Amino acid sequence: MKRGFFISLVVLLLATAALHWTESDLRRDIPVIYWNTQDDENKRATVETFQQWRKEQGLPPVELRIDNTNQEPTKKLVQGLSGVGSDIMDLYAYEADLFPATGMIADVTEDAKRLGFSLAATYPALSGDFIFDGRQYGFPRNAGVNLNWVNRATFAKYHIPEPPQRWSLDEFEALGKKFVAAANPPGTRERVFFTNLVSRDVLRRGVGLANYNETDTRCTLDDPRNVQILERVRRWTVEDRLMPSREEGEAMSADISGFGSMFSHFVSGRFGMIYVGQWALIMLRHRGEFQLRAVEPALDGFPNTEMGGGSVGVYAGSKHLKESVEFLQYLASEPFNRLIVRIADGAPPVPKFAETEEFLRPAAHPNEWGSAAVFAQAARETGLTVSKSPFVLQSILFREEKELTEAMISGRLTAAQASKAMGDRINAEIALSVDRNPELRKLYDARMRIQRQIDARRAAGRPVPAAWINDPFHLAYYRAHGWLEKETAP
Amino acid sequence: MSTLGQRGSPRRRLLAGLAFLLPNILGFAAFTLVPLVMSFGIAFTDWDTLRHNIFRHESLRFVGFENFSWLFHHPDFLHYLGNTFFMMLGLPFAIAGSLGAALLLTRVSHRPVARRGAFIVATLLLTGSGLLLRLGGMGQTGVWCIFGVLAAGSLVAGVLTGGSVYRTLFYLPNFTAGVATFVLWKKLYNPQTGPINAGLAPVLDGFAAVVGSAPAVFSWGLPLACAVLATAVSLWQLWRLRQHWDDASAGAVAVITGLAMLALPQVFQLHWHGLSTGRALGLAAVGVTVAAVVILRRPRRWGPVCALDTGLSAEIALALGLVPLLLLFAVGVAWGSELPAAAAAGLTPPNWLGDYDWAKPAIMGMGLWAAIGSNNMILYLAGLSNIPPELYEAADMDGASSLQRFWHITWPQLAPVTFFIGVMGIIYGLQGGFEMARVMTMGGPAGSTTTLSYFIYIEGFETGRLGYASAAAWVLFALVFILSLLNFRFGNRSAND
Amino acid sequence: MTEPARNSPHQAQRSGPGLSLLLAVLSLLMIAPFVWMMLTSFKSLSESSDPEWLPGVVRWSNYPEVFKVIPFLRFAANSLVIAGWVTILQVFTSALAAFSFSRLEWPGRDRVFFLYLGTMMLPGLVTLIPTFQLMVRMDLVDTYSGLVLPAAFGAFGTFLLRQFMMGIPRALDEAAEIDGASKWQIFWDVILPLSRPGLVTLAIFTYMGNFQSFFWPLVMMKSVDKFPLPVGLMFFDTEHGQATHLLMAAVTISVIPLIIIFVLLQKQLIRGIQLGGVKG
Repeated sequence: MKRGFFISLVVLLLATAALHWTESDLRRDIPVIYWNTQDDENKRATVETFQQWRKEQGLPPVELRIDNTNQEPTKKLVQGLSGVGSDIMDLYAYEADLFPATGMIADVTEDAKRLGFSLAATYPALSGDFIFDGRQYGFPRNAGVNLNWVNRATFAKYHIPEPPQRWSLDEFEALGKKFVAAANPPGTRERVFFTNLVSRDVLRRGVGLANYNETDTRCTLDDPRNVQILERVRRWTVEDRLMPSREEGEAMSADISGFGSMFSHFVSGRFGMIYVGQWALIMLRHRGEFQLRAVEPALDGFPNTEMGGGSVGVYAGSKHLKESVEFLQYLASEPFNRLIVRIADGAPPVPKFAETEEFLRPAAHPNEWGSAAVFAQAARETGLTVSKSPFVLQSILFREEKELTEAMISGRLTAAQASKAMGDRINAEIALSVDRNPELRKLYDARMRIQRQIDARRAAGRPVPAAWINDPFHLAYYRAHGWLEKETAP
Repeated sequence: MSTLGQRGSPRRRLLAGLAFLLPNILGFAAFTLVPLVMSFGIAFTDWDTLRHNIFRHESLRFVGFENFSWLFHHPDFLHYLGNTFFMMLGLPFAIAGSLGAALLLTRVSHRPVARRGAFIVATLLLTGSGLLLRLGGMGQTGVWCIFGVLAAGSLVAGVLTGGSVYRTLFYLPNFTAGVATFVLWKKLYNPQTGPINAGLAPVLDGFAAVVGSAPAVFSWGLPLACAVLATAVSLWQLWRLRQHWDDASAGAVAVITGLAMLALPQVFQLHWHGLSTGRALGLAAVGVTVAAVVILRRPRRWGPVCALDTGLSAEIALALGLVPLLLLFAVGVAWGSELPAAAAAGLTPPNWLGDYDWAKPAIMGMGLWAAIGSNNMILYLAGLSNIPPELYEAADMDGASSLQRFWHITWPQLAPVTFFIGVMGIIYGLQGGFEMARVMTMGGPAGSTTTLSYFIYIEGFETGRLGYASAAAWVLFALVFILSLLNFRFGNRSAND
Repeated sequence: MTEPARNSPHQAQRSGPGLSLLLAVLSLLMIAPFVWMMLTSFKSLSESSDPEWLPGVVRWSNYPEVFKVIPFLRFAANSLVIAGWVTILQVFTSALAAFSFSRLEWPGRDRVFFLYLGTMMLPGLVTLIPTFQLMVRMDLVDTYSGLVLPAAFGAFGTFLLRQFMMGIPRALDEAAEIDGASKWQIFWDVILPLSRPGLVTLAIFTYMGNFQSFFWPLVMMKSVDKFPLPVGLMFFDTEHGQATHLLMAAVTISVIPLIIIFVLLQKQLIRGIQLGGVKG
């Protein structure tokens, strides 16, 4: 026993020493910066091009390493807050506002002006992704818009006309019903769906409703218009079965991350359309050559699309701030934008590169021709980033909205109850955080005063100054309806 | 009586005692006590990682009990609490399963003959089955081939090695514990591609055919039979409780527990017939109270002394069998009449993790699989081997039946082990579920698998409200503490009987 | 029902073929998920989401593939060593503490013990966040020590071993004390050898538990070189979906060392782990 104890002790000591010695040596003479992103050939190409670009710019050499092992969102946040984050970070979805809010993403406003990667370099609509309170916290890696990808072969197979580029909800519903009826004759074992999902945000924005009001001080999901939207989504899922419910969707995806299965179902014809960004091409190109089209999401009313690039931020605790900031500068450079065009990871962040022939009609992929133009047009004209409120975390809204919608679709809540619960819960969250934070309280009170003024002016039918409106959707909506005061400068 | 260490002054003894404690207590203080005190403090502050971190130095504010009051006003807090307790219902079954497995394993004789030979035979059999599979078609027959050979192999090996092979096989789920298990079971539960539903589908089809051939029998015969049986069982239990109260082999707590267990299936029954959960619970509470008053007011003829909780463990053990049985009957009554119509439309196996009502049972099923052959079984095996054989010999001479021997010797002798397992089960059961929820369901669908611990994880790590999360964690602690205390109060008594 | 009967020969004879058959069937049920996992590890990626149990073609190449896709041996070595340190620290310090709690009489002993026990009721999540903050302060993030230390001093081991040592007859150490043995000698030469099954049990429980731990290493570790296996297995989740077949192959390999350890030590396990009542 005791001998066993000592033997294990010695073995452990030796093993630990061996592990220490064999650790890969990370010390280098040149600075090593880490980029928290996926490890794939596109990212490796990005790193390579970065090195060349530095050489051309006459910048001293650095080593840029891809860190794909710390991408788990919780881990990213916890390690970032503890001072051990990666130098450069991809900021996805809700991370885009959460991370800067914690202070762990460096404010690069001044650098951006100096080095030429401020908002002027990219699509104005993307500002919501990396500019908060007028300060810049990163730069987009691409300009992604979510549209419906149409697999033309699937439509041809069932002799269903392809959807038009812009369409109403009734058109969507009629075509969808025809499609699923033709694609699912009695006795079908694996159901074919019209689309994988529809964006409820887009539907709501179509009828003039965003997640929040103009000043982002109140969640407006308890609006009666939302009840209508939710009811329609329920009908499409449960009665018409144009798209899978959560259960059906989960049954279809055999893996955790789900993306892979979405594309293979699209390719195999189980989804007539998929609603996803242009980066879908990365996944589709290596699956074969398909006749593809891109059409806007169906909606009634105000034309809009969901836009959101993967933006990239620099870690405030980085030991190589200067070199990391230069990476953002590189994102606005020509070599990088050309690279994005070539690999089709969304539209390039700098708009002028989306007008090149190479982007619109890639020589190697004639089957995609026509789709890129739709994406570029959407990015320029209808793309809007998601509505965010400084008073509630985006992740909470995502979760509550999704959970309550699922509960409604499964019949546990009515659309009216779900809609009311969404408003109640998010507004309770807003009250909670405002109550907690004196700074937020000040901001909230100030915005509430403006909100009351906006409401009064709207009631009187008078225009509103653009500066009063914080929400990207409401701003665009007001502008389109001529509800804004004459703007002095764009 | 001079026991070790009673010599020397109290001071010296204290020093000696602490000296041995030191290595453990140092690490314990640093890595358990300090964080513990910190978390207790945090629960009363507004610590939010968004505002209080190494990049932003805002000062923390003391907020008193605000976090707790928010917690109780959270619209889903009770829902999550309910989920946590629902998952705990699996614990008695897990313990019973471990005990059953240990009893079975102990019965296999320990003959260390030809152990090496057995391994060789088993290995040969396994290799043989592999070869057979490669040679023969890889069709469905192959699966049965594999299982046949595996069964034969483990049978032979088990007989030859005297159970140690079974022990390893039973313990096998423990080797894949953790995240790998969750990923594995997520695949097993997949409604379209998972083997569970692939196996269930033909069974259900066959059942549907049977139902279809005689719809009348099922539409009213089944509910009727179930109702009659359920009534009979319930009456028997009532009679039994009265009897035990009369002869003082059941105390008040035991009687009420027994009644409550009886009421549980009725709650479900009422709920399925459209009553709200609150009403159903209320009605059941009334029923239990009335029955309890009727029984407990009966005078005891000989007025024997009997502690409140005498016979409690017997009631709980009985409930393990009774509750599922009654639930089964309740299901029969509730859905029997709809069965023919459903069968005509085709019975489909459930969408385990994707379905609001099935997700929790699915997770509990996985937990049961992992728990039966776990450390608990090992502890029970050890406990069983320590029971002095003289006790059984004496019982044999009295002509005791197997059941009596179990009930009067084995069960009381195992009480310390059961107590230990119970304490640990409550502790880990109430804390558990967050990695599972994270990997398998993300707490869904519609929050049906969000336990308190997953809620704490979300609040603490995803939303960053450390103060709030700590408050929730301490509420969880209070629950664990109360339940453990009850276990101490009632469990330790029987352990010292 | 059944009754335990290891020690009485006439009862042992009762175990007939029926019992063996029942056990064989039950153990089949227990290992069925495991068998499914092993079979899946021989499939191709597209087959891995089929309901069919058997692979169309047995792909042995999945196994070498595992070693190519991730530094499997490195991860496994990390896990083995980390769990090893936790185990050795846990067993040794717990044995000392349990000796103090069960064999020595000192004022306030039982109160301290119940305090110990009480901390076990705190959900690990309560302390997860502060512990992480502590690790940051102590500069232990992304180190082996950061994984070993917080796991090595739980009250569980002390509880288990105390219950065990309670069952060892007092007469033995009294005899030793009369012979003039010091407390340390009594611990080292009398109690420790007698506690062997208890120590082995604790070692196995600790080792198995820590070999699997996932969340703590996930947030703590940053360098790939130091990832333990469960965290390393995350590499099979890529944006293209999950490489199920490789994951299953990796898990299958990772189980093997655990099975070996278990089979080697299991004889010790069952032999007389005596758990006394809490009050003793």
